[in-house]
Amino acid sequence: MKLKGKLLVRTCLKTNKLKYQVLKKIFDFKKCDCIVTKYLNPDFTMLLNNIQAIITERGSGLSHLATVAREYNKTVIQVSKIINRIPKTGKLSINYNKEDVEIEVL
Amino acid sequence: MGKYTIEIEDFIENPTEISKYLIEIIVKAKKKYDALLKSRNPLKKIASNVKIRLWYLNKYIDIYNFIQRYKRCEIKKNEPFKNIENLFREFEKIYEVIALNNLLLMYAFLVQSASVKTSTNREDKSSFVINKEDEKLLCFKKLYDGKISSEQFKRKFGHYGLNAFELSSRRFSEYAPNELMNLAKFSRDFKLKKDIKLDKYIKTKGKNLFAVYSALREELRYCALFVVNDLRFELLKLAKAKKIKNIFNLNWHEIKRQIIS
Repeated sequence: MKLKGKLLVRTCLKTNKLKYQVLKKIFDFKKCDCIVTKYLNPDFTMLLNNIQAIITERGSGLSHLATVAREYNKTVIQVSKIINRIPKTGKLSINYNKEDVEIEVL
Repeated sequence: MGKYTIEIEDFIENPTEISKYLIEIIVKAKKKYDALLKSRNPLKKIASNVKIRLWYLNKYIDIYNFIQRYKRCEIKKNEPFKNIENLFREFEKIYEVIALNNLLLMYAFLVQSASVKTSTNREDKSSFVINKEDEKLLCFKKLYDGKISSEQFKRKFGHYGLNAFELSSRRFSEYAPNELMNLAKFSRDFKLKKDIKLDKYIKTKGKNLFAVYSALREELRYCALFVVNDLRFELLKLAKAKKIKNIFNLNWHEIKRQIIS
């Protein structure tokens, strides 16, 4: 499945194939490279040193979490209505060109 | 500019009725500055742009001085109602500054993005000022490593919490040591790569204003969360004194009506 999104914070990803987890609450976090969230929850700043990227359904490039993510060199991508279209955990690949992003759930 | 506006949702997840009053304050402050960006009259738009540009170049000094002079709102014993009214006013005062800082942060971001695009050196130069968020993560790491006690952590960040602007959210000062440790474990691998404090950086020539406004935002958040912390405890005192059930599920106007009648 391929999904299109927008880049809110651009950094260099170590790899474009990432283990992801759909995350609602911080205590549900399990080791992965990328979290998929409904919005840019400020509580998740604590997870930034554990992940490479955040995919969010809603949010702004200047929200608290996005600003901190930029400082810690983490990618933030916005993809509308992603949560109900993908499994809760799995692998995905991210490819981007300028501000447009293509995400493929593997 | 849409994707660079700052969303209300970023502040409070599922707000209770009482926290919706904080959102009313936030929206009011935000609207004041949003109006500057939305003028349809081209002359007014140019005037607004010049104004924002001048603010961008100068206002960080006023905002920094506001933070330096900031003193927590005085809490009077046994007067929770008055204290809450004062604290809401205090939140309004701080939020006015946060809204201005957010506008200038957005402007600074656009200035920086333009300069990164035109520069041959595409390095982002905004990530070296240590701010309160870094200090919080560092404190969590120290707590995890046993270098500070939970009491020491609470002295510095006890007024923070998860969903921090929600008034019904427990503050870290209310957490048991093992609960704090459950959070601290997320910071065990944290490494602080930044090397300069805002107080020093703000005095340097040729500073990056995005870095300055970004750090100022965290400082303002630190102050605003003191108000949220004090509001929470005064609301709990008021609920106890006046036997109000589920105070966080009532809106402030309702609570005022109940108290006055």
